[in-house]
Amino acid sequence: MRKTVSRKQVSSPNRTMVRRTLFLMAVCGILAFSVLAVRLYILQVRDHAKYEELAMSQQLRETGTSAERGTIYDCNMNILAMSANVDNVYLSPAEIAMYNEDRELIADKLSEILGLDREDILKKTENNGSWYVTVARKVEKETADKVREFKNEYKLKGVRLESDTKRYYPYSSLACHVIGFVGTDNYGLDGVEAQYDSALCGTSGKYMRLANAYGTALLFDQYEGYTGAENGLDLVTTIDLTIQHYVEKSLYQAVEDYDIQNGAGAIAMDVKTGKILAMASIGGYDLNNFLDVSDEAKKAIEEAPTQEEKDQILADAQRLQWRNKTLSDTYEPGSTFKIITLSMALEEGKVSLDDSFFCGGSVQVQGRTNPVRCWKTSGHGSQSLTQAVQHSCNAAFVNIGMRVGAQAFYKYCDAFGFLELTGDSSQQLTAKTGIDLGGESGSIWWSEDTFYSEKNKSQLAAASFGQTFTITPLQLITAVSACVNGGYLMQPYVVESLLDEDGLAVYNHKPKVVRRVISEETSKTVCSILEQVVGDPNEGTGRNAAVAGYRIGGKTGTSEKVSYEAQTGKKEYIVSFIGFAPADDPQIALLVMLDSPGSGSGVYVSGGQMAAPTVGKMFADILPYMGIEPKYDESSEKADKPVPDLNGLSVDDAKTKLSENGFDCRLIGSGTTVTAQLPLTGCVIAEGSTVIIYADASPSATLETMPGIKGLSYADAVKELSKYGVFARSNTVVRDAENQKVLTQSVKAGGDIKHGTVVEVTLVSDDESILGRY
Amino acid sequence: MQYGSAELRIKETKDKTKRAGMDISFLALVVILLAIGVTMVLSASFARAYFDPGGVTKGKATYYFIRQFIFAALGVAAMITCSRLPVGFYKRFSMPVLIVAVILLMLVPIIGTNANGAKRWIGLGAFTIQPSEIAKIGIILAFASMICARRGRMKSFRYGILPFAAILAAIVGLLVLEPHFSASIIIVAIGGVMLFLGGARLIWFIAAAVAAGGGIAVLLTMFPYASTRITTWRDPFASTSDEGYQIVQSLYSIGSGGLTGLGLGQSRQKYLYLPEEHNDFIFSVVCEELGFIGALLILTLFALLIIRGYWIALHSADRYSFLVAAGITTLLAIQVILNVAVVTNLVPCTGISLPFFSYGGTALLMQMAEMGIVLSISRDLPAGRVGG
Repeated sequence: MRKTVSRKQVSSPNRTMVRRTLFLMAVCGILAFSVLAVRLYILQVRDHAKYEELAMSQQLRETGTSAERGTIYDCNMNILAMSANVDNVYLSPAEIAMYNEDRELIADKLSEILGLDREDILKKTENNGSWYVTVARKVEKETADKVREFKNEYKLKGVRLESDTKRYYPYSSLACHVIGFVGTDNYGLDGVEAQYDSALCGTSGKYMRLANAYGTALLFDQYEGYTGAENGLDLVTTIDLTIQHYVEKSLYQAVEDYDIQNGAGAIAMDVKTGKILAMASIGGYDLNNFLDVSDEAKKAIEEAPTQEEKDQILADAQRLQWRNKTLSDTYEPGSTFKIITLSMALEEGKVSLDDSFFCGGSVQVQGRTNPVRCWKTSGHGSQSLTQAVQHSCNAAFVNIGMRVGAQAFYKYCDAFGFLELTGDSSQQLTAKTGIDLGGESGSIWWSEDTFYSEKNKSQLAAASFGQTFTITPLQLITAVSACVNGGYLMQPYVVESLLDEDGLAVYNHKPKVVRRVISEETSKTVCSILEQVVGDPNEGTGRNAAVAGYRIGGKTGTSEKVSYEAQTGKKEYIVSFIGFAPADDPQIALLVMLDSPGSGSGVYVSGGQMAAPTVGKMFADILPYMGIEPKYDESSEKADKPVPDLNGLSVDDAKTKLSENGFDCRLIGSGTTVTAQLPLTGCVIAEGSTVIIYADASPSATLETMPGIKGLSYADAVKELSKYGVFARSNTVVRDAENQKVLTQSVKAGGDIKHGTVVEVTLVSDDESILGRY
Repeated sequence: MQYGSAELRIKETKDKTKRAGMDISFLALVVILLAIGVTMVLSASFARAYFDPGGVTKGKATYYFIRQFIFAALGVAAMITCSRLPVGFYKRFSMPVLIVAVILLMLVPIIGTNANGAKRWIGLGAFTIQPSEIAKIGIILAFASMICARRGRMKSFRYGILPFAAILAAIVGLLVLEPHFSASIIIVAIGGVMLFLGGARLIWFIAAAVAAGGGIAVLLTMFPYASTRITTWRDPFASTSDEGYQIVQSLYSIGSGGLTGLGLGQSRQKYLYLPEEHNDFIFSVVCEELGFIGALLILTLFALLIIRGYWIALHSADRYSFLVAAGITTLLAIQVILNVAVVTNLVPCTGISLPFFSYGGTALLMQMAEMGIVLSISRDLPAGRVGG
């Protein structure tokens, strides 16, 4: 049968085959594609945002572009800290391999430009799998440009640079404790750099670019996103660089002159606003190398036997040099605190200028077996209130403190910002000034229960002359400023304003009156009494702080480090002086504290002998700079004088002119007309100095050896120097050239010195009558 | 009318010396898809070729493109040649092609080249050939021929199923040795489709589906790499850095393309994120660059080509032509659908290339030759159907 079926009928597809093909056509041609289309719709349209974000998160590489850190200025817009652009140099060994770049050449050149080990760099170039190997961080522009040049010259893809910033401090260690420093990640670690970090650092920007799976660029720049960095604000501090410089200069000099063992601190404050004009702490450090320690510490580290000890010494030395003594250290202020006791007693009406106080050398205090001794064991006898302050008489101040009473005393200490009464009378008391700097310590005071004890008045008695509690130097100068500025306790501050990029202030500090503590009248009285402490050449214990032509008030302080003595058995002192000027309208207060003078200086350890002249020197520099005109009276006329112009005069006329001016004369040469003189015209030198005149001769170029004049009276020193053709000038007030002794000389004994040099000396009055630890 | 039939007679006499024209629609669709495909190889491959992480191209960005372009040209030549050969030629060589394919498959374990832990290629001078590609067309041609020979007996198990199943089993066995999972699936699928079209009873397909389910279960237990694929398929984001990496990168590509795409050449995923971006996953790059609209357009072109392929089958007068045209069309459809389903994670990941798009010489040549066979069949369509 089959054979009969025609060929055509047999070979054509049957019905089933057609049906099944139509089915496949529907499934494979329409249905399946519809499913795929729906699937694509879900992925590409419905969930597009989700996948795009996920894809972007791997394709986009974000590079933070650092915001430029704000500049820090002093009050006269001198730059204290600034950021500069630097580069990090790194290698991309994967690309070095890919483009077959010359490893030897790269190692040779980079080691030469960057001053690094060649083998080290060569090893880094062979790290084939990596796209980022750091070679050098924070490379300065000049060096980085050389690397860039090299890279471009050889068209190297494997040598790369990225920008970074570095902080520079043009004045290295000046005001280091106020300015502070930043770490390698440009994050403020100390000082205003830390305190105002968020304002200074700004907001970093973002640079986004597409990258391939290796993190390097695509073949075409398809997408780049950039969010601009918002630069940090510039910061204007209250620090006056010139004042800071004067303060540090004298403070460092004091540390050297008096063999200070444990550092020193000084603060200059605008008494009317609480503005910190200068703040110094010794030892300082170079802000540009803040990790670097002193040579002594380095030596100790070298000598230390174990690594652990080395690390410990280094860490201790760093902590010590970073410590701002003026606000981190608390100390017993001693007699400088008498200003506070005096102010509260006057304000409360417990004492008046007409009161008299008797000192027999000691005073009995309820609750104490031993009487409280005055520094002058023979006693001051009968004294007025002003004299009691001038003498810094402890006996009188115990009396004054008792008159004020324990409760009122604490109330005023609270008002002056030394402590905060909490209501819990059994608790030790403390307080801070709230200055805009980190690291401020709180004061330590007895609890009210202890202090108010009826049976034991010894706390009150000792507190009256500044002992049995500890405060920071900053607290003291803030409170003393209130005593002399009319009674306003100001909050101290170091930042004046924050400026945006256009120099517009986005923040201006307004001086903050914490509270009014004493009246205008009391303040005036305090000023006039304190002026007598410095200004009275006979009775003032602070007379060494006097500056010719200026009215300066102040108070000395010498305190035993009681707890230190209890721990070590060694007697050590902190000597201090707090002064202000001008006394009739105080503008600036200065506090100097010297921690632990050594016995090596030969100067009697006391605030009056060490801290007062230091403050005096500072005032002598600062007050003229501040534009405060000196007013000379009769007594100051005895001071040093300028040398008149003698050139061209006859020898006789010159001699007459010199003697009229109070100078002696020495003639060299045989001529009749003066052809040269030493010192030169206008040089200010001590009265009675022997001026050298040359007649047909000229000064010899021979160098002399500087003699030691420390300890000589000023008059003797001038005579001694005359022998060498050298002259003297005093930076302290010359009241009594016979009795004021030379404390320091600007040219070291034994050094070479030219004829005609003027040596600057510091004088102290050290007559027996005022020698004491006041 | 008289006049008309005279015209027809003249045409019929002409046909004896020269065959009718091929199906222009089918040809046009193939050429358009091939052109887009080769362009996409350039776009998808140049990043990898440039960065050359495998050290293959020496940084030459057009490395893959130039090779694919040459194969495309050879492919066009192969298509034209195949379209000129008469259908009878294929029928005569149906069995020999399958036999050659089987012999080559048997040679693979002996002289095959190893890549990625599998032996699938035989080196032939500068080129490599993949015997499984030849096996696919071999199955279509041989089964079509066998079905024609067994007409009327296709409903019986002995004649309609057994010989076919034996051949499939032998080939799958050889493929499992390589191992080549995706080729096995396609071979089994296309073999099944041939039987389905040939009129085998539906009950056998139900039975086969059950057997396939069991077989897959066995395969999953035999090959651990297969079972992890299932886990990865269900939640690729659970292992974005290892097993799921490829599919996750593919989804990123497709999804980030959005409605209109990033633009031709603008893919970001091809910058070494997406593996196999110019091979099995080229469609992900298409989606990323041309967007949903572009992807849909290309799928539509494929769908039209497939429908036209079935149309040619349906209109062929001869059973063998019908089976071969439908078989080749289905083979094309299976590969396109499975590839897109894989890259969109509709089915578990397996290596199936996208016809006309994926980089690969043998596969492209074979596909073009297959298209040539369909075009050859289209020449024999009864008059009035041509170009319809």
